[in-house]
Amino acid sequence: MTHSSGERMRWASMLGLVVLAVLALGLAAACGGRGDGAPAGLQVKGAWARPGLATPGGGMASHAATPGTAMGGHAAEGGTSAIFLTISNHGREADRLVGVTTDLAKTVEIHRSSIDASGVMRMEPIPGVDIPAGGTAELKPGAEHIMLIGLTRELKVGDRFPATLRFERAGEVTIEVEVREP
Amino acid sequence: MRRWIIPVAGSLLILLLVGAGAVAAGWLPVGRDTVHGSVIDPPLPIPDATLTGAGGDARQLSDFRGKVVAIYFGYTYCPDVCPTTLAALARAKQALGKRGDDVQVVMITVDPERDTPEITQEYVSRFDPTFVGLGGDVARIRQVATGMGVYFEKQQRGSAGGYLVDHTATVLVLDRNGDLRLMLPYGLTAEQIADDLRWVLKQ
Ligand SMILES: [Cu+2]
Repeated sequence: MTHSSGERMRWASMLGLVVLAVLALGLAAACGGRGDGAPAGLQVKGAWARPGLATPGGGMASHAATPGTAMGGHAAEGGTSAIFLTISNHGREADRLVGVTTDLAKTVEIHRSSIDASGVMRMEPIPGVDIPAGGTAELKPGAEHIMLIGLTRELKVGDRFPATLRFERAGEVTIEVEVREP
Repeated sequence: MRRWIIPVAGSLLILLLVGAGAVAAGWLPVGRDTVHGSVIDPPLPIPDATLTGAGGDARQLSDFRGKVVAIYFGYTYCPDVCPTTLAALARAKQALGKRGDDVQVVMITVDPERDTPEITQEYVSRFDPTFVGLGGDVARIRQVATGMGVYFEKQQRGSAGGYLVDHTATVLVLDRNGDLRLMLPYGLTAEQIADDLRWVLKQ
């Protein structure tokens, strides 16, 4: 090789610029899409939640007091809903959704519903959802979902609200959730 | 070489082509009578029982005789499988148009501790104002459920929201005589459910 040191410097800085440009493009691509803001190659898409009322089951003010007293303060007061979404991991390392927060519900848990061979539905809290490197995790009805327990306000079709997803590697990612019918 | 092979194969091929053509042209009713759920044949009589409707009035399943009744056992706390099924039933009923008037959707709560008949009724009304929600004494509910092969059980699984309820997620369809005629597994689309309800309405 006969490159002078000046030439090498120029090459190095050009290379650096190219790397920076690629990184910037990548970041723009990761953050630019509607409703996703995940760093580190995570992409969250199609987040939606079911409509729900701030009182279990019903909505009429006259019944609002009934559940709390009937339950003897046992369970969550306020209705439930669930968030569904798709997380794609374009990175080279597996990640894991480990928690979700939103001020729309008193309690937020990651749940899994499943139907066994005899048609029985069971739902259970799970510690997290794995997103394999290069893979996708789909949270959908009849499977994993983010369960909102004790809604603090009514969720009506067309409403939008923020929720913060917590990933083991990628950290916190705030997304926008749309309320709609499935 | 056996001589019959060519004519037999030839005529089979012709039959196949004619059949395919007929299906394509819509002459043969393929798909029209397709049932997606499991047919109960002969229809199974189910024991009647008294449940409670909103307002505290006694309701029996036999009250709905003359209509096709789609029964779902669920609970309002469930944010996933239950609303998916009820929304599909609502769309299926809508798809039936005028004939949908002869279909009654009933949800029986498997969580009477939290779901009063009023709460159950208000919950199902959100999907379709004609849906009926029933509740009542847990022993009565269990009697009705067991009579139709439906299982439910309270479970403590460490959810901060309290207990959860495992339950059969199958929709049970009674014919106009009140006998169990069809079982719809979880996950059928509204179109599939509409097909099946149409079939029961014709029986
Ligand atoms: Cu859940």
